[in-house]
Amino acid sequence: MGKTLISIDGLKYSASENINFNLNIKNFVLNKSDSILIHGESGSGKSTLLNLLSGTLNPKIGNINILGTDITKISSSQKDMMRGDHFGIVFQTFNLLPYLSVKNNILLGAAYSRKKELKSDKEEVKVLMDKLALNYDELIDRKAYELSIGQQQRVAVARALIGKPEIILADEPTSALDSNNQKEFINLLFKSLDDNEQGLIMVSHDHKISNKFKTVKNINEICEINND
Amino acid sequence: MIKFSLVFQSLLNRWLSCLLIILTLAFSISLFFTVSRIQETVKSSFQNTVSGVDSVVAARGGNLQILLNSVFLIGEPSSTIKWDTYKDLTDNIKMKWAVPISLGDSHKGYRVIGTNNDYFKEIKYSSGKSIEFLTGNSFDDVFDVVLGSVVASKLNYDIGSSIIITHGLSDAGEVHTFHSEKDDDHAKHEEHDDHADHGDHDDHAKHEEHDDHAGHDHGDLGFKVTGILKPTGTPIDNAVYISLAGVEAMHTGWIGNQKVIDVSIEQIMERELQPKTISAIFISLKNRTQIFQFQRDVLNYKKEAISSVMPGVTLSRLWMLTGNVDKAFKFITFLIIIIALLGMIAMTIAGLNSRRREMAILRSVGASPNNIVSLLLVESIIISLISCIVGYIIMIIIFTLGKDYLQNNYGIFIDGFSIKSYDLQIIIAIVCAALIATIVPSIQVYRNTLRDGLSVKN
Repeated sequence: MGKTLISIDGLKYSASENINFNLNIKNFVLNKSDSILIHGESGSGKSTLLNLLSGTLNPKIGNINILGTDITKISSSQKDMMRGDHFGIVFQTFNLLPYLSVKNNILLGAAYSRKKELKSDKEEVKVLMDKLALNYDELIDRKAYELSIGQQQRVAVARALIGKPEIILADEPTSALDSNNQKEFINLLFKSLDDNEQGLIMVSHDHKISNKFKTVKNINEICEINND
Repeated sequence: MIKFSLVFQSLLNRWLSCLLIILTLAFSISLFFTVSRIQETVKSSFQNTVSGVDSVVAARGGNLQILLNSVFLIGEPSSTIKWDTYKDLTDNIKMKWAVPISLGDSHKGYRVIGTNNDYFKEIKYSSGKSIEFLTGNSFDDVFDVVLGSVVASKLNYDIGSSIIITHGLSDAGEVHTFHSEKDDDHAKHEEHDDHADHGDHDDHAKHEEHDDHAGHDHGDLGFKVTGILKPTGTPIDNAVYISLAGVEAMHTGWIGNQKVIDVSIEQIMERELQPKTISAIFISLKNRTQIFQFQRDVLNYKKEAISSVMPGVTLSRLWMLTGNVDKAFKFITFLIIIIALLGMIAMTIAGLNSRRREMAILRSVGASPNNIVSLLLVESIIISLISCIVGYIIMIIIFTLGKDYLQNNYGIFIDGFSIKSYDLQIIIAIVCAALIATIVPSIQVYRNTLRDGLSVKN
């Protein structure tokens, strides 16, 4: 499979119907152990990019190659499977199902995957929670809505990382945190990543966290966006 | 495992709206079950009001009228038939048994049936159940009386109580029968008046003076209760039984409703108390296949104009007339279930918008739109199944608690609760209906998840 996780070639996307929004990507590559931070203001097409990468939006033209499979050529249910098997995704806020326990929220990351097999639910959840500085005994059975925002975001990371998916996508995961928590969050995230296997793409408008990433790009360097 | 607890926890998270919808569904389902069962019971107890009787012979008249009169004790008795006719028929036709009855008198609004001891032995109800005595025995003296269970309990009589039989049916201006037990029911007032009144009043006066003139207590002739019957849930419960000799004794010295001579008990007992006329004969043939021959024989009977009515056939016809009412009732309960299901859809749809975030999270971990729709379907299966179970339990409670009430107040006999073979079919049908009802929100969820992808635009 080599070391390329994602490669995009000559992609053209345009929003449907009455919305005039076009997004073109000439070339984009994510390799194993890469970490890419993409800067951009809100409304600049970051969400569209993430939806394209994770297979919930379809481009008009071009290839999106994920681990050797062109996901523009496969069915939507196969794409869903790809996402379940190879992706870990962290949102800005409200990452968790509030009525589920911390444990079930983390395990949800592997619930729809056939590849993310866990040797022992408890063991793997505990390892991840320890790495992310979440007190296992105290928090494991808590409902998600009982946690602080900082804790919630770290639980979301645990969910994204469980089962060791190759690609981690994060959509402004720090924007709801205060600056102390932001720094800690990024540190813990990088500590938890498997450097040899996983690649990280994070979208953010926050420049303070840039120093941890191997590559920092502005969204305009990757995409050509036209929304007139 | 997580997926299942996902559905469950999600429902628990919305427990109040779920509880309400489950209660709505459960009550409508229990209503449906209860109504179907009561309908069945009423139908069978109605159609089996008399069983084992092949024919009711009475003076020529409409089938329905004869049946209402002799079996349901409703309406004015038609004209009588001669005792000789009874003799003639029983002598010439092979019968298992023939029970004569004489109607036309009452006690405190309850009809009096003059008959013989065979009545309690031969007449069956509810597909072959025998009439049984709660206490005491059948009559063996002229002034012995047996009471139906309702009469005994409503009027508080016991063995040894002395009661007075009223000539005519209009005591207190009402007749207690199987189908009309309301104490303030004056509907039958007028039809009894001409029977009991002296005729020299105008129509308005009749009503006012009714209680003074209606009926004539056979003051001196006290009857003594010797037996009380067990409840049957049929008009049998609402009657007072005396011997034919008792009827005859009562009427000695009377012509029509006028007392013409005073007679003492001693004088009465000296007479031969053989009835001259009776109202109807319940007949069971030796060979049931002979029924049509028997019908013809009765029609061709020369000495008197009489009719033979097959109770089973006539009751079925009567049921077809009244049965539509409870079909309509059943249909209404069916509509109530549909309304409850609509409520369930409304709840689901109303909740969908606030759950879009939930859907996006599930999509991010690899759930396909189909997975998400299937969550909704599992939800509605759980809700409808729980509702069915709760509804079933409510029905059992209704039946256990309501059994005595229905019996005492409406004469409806339910055999307690029992599991019926079609219960499961109904439950499956309701769950399927719930699934079908979920199609609408499912389509919406499907569209939402496709449109939203991972990002929810609030």
